[in-house]
Amino acid sequence: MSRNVKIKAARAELDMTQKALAEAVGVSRQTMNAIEQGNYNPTIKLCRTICRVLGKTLDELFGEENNDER
Amino acid sequence: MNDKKESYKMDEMQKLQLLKLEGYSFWIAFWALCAAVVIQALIGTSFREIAGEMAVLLIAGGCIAVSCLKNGLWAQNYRPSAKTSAAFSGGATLALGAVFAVRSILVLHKPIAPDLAGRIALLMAAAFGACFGLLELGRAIYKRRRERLDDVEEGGR
Repeated sequence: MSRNVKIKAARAELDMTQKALAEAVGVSRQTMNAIEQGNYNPTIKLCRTICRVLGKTLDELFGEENNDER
Repeated sequence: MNDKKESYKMDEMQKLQLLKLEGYSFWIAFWALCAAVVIQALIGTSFREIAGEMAVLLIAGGCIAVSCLKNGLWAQNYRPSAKTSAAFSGGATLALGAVFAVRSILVLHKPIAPDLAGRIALLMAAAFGACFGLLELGRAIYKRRRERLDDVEEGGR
């Protein structure tokens, strides 16, 4: 799995730390870090929560060009 | 109060990790118990004394088999086929025969005679029949269950 830099960028736009995003989404920081590092594939439910918190669409954060597995 | 409750709530990745760890632990315990039964049989412990361990093995194996069949699941790496059932039954039968032969000859010091060989062969044949029969029964149940689980209307449960 490749890194998800889009989440990090969206977080930076809102001046949000990884810890703050994890808390807003309702997961541990370890999980949020694993998602950003591409080490964990979140469920669609969690993806939607992350999108809602960051004000982005699923395609913007988890679209194919972002998570292209090579 | 609520804060305390919240701090113990696991997220989906942690739940998945815990599930994986529980799975590994279950199989370690299962095979360790299996090894303990074999070792005790090999050192001459009477079957009455290892009945507890064997009962636990039977319950654990039965539980996982029933749960898997109920959910339409078969082995991860093997296709359900008569050939696979025969291969696994053969393997289990050979292992059982070897344990009985070693126990009878080396531990219980029974004389190597056609009578003993005959009894071991009979035991192996019975074990193979029982094992193969159970696997084939499980395979038939699995197929029927799989068909039923896949035969759902779109939008239905």
